[in-house]
Amino acid sequence: MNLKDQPQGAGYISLRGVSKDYQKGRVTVPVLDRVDLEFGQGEFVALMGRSGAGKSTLLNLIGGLDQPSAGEVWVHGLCINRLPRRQLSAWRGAHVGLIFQFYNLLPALSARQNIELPLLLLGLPARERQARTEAALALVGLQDRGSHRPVELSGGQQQRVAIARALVADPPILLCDEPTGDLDQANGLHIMEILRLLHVEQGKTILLATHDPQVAGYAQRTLRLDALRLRQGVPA
Amino acid sequence: MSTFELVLRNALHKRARAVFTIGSVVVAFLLLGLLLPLERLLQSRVDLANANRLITTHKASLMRPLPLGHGERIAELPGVEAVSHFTFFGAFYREPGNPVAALATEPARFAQMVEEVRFHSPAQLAAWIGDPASIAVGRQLAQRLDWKVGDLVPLYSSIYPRADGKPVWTFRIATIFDAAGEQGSTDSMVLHHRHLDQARAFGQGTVGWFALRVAPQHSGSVAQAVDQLFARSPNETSTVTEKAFAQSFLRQVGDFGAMISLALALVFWTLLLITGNTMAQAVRERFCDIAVLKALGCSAERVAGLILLESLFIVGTGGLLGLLLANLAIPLVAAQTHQLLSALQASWHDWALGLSLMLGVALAISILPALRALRQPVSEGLNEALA
Repeated sequence: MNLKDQPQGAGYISLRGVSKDYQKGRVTVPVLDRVDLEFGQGEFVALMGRSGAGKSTLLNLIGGLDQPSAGEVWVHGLCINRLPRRQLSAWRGAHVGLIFQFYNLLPALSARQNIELPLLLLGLPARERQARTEAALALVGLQDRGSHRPVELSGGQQQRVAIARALVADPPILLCDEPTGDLDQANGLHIMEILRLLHVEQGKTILLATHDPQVAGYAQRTLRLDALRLRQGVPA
Repeated sequence: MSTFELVLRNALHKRARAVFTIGSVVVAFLLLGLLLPLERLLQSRVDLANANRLITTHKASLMRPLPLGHGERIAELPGVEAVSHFTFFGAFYREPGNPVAALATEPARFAQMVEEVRFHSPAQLAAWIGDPASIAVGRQLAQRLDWKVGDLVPLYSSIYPRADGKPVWTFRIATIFDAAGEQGSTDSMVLHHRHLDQARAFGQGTVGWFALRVAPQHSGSVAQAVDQLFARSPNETSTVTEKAFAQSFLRQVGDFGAMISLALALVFWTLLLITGNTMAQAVRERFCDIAVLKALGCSAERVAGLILLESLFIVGTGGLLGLLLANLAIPLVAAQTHQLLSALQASWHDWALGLSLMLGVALAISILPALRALRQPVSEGLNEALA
């Protein structure tokens, strides 16, 4: 099958018979088992399930951070798990914004430099990088904190920087792994409000893993995962 | 932010560690910058030794004198063009901690045979040859001790006391000589052997060694003939080329080349261990950051490149600083350590070797961390944040 030879009737993001096993010493631990899934362009979907149900694994597979043990992951007509490693990195840099539970900002860089990093990796000219970085900082309301390092920011501010970093290259897909998991309720709701606006105003496709039903309530629909199998959930 | 700034910020993130690591690199390259010119200087003295000159010493030891009469018999051998002789005077100026390189010889023959020195004034040269109590002084020594032609110079000898019991040997400076080549040292002086021989308390009629001028193609046969001439006599001789003599003289102190090479090898092996361990630790601590870089679209090869650049920055900064300090220190060392090290000079060769070593060390210490970063799955690195 060709890299762009997507099956007919597939969604914007399609998982076809995807399985994922992890090797823990001599034991093989199955996390996802022959999963078929479709996500439409511009959809906001919450992935829920207990710890170890495969939420992060699913996001990693869709973002090309991990390879499936079996099956195929298609994104906008491209089978990403068959892309060569280098091409996959370039594709991810341009198409996927990642937001993590623990922000994962680079501690040596300022907030502004963290946000600029994806643009540097894409090879954009300095002037464009600067303009886009300032716009992203403004979008998350941190214009006055750009020169601060991550340790000088609160958890909520760090997650806003992480969102700005995920958005700055204007990727069509946002993958958010427990983005409010390390924040208090007020900050968590602030982050979710930003994500909601990004979905509504910019039409981003957002897949969000969470334990929190209140957070899942911001999504258009919820998928519930249990170990090994994935069950279609109830629309939000 | 540029790629360089990204590298810089990562390299200097842990300031104290970066400073200590760069400091160890500075020390290694400072030593390199000091020892290479020293090795070259010692080697150049050997290289300068003229192939058309032979040296005849006592077979037992350089320190054993030879009868002055040997010279006349050597001069009669076929193939010998000229013969001169030299004797260590063991001079010091004012105090024993202030030694002066001084040799006693026949001035007329010296001016004729030693092509490495140049006398500018024939009149002064003639005055030196004509006055047994006068000396010829090298330009560097005269400048160092602020001596001028006409000055009376009081010297002590650690080898030869005077026969009249006076402790001081007084000489008048008749002329100042220069080196004929760029690398020659003139931090020395030459006195009349005849004057020494007459005034010293012992050792009359002896010399330290003979210098023979021969045609290069005859050097082997002449050396053999000289040693055969004095075989089974009380003062047997050993005749070698001047180059071999210079090497054996240096070996009395030790094999400098081997010692310097060994010292540098140990220094750089230690440097590899220190910087290699630091880089490995720095990258290990940043596995999560590296996974983030990859997640943001940085290819594994580019991550490896960033690690190499970081190593290059650390080694390059320390290395350049070390070589620069060595270049600043060399003139000071040359000024403080008289005679042997006075011609110590830095060279672009040292910089070329230093830059190659910087590149080599940076490559060597970044290979393992870069390979590990290349192989590490992104999801695994990101999970380290949760651990």
